Amino acid sequence: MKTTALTPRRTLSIATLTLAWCALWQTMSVANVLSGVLLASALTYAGIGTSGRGSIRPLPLLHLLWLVLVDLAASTFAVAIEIVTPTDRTEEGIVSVTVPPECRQHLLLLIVAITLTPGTAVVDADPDTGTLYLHLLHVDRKGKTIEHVHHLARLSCEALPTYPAGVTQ
Amino acid sequence: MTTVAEILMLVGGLIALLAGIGLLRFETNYARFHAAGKASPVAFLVTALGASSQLGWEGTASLAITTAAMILTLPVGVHLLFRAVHRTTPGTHLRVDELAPAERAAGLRRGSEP
Repeated sequence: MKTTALTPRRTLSIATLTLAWCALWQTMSVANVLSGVLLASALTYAGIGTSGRGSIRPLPLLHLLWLVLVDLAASTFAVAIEIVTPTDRTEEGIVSVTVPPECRQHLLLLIVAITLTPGTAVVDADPDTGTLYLHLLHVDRKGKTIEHVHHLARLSCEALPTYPAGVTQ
Repeated sequence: MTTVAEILMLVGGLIALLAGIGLLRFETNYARFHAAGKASPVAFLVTALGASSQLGWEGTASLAITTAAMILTLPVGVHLLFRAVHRTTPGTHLRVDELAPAERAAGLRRGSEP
């Protein structure tokens, strides 16, 4: 049964969507805020884009965001070093990593996070088995990369709501 | 503040230049995507950070939305490019390819891979 209560999560969603709405209009006027709140409320109560169940844990989420930002900076630096170094030391390969079953609901988030990891990109993903196929610029770093992917998967599970297998959002 | 903004925009431009050089310098499609896919969001982020200090609330809001959209969508685009290249060109330079057997089993055609 769908809840109609104004939960903290729903309030946060409405506030964020209203801010994004005002940012799109580039003006924080009363009319924009009111229309933003109205639109955001309609969207959240209709259940579009949010399940309304489970909870988002802010600390693991901030940790995940911080890790992704650090990865982004590190990957840019690593690629820049590869570009300016005259010798090509890349040894490319595609390896598979299996994500734990409870984290498979956040596969898209993982794809985004992994692609921002140094020397790594997702070539393909199998949502049924939770297998990600990663392209590595340095295939000898396979062990470290797999460990990092599992760390990201664990963090995404801690930060975002998960559902038992077979339950749809 | 203007000096900081100028430095940030210069750094952003430099990162974008490096990404461009990477596209020309790397020999394989995969490596080129790494250059384009990693450096360009950072280049945009740093340039936007510099520009936002000069544009006020309106400009900053637009840049924040654009940056968020870019960081969220670019990795997915890069992933699709990687997949398209893998399915259409032979990956003879790859030391390991654990995806090829899965694609063959699924009946997905690849280029002239042996």
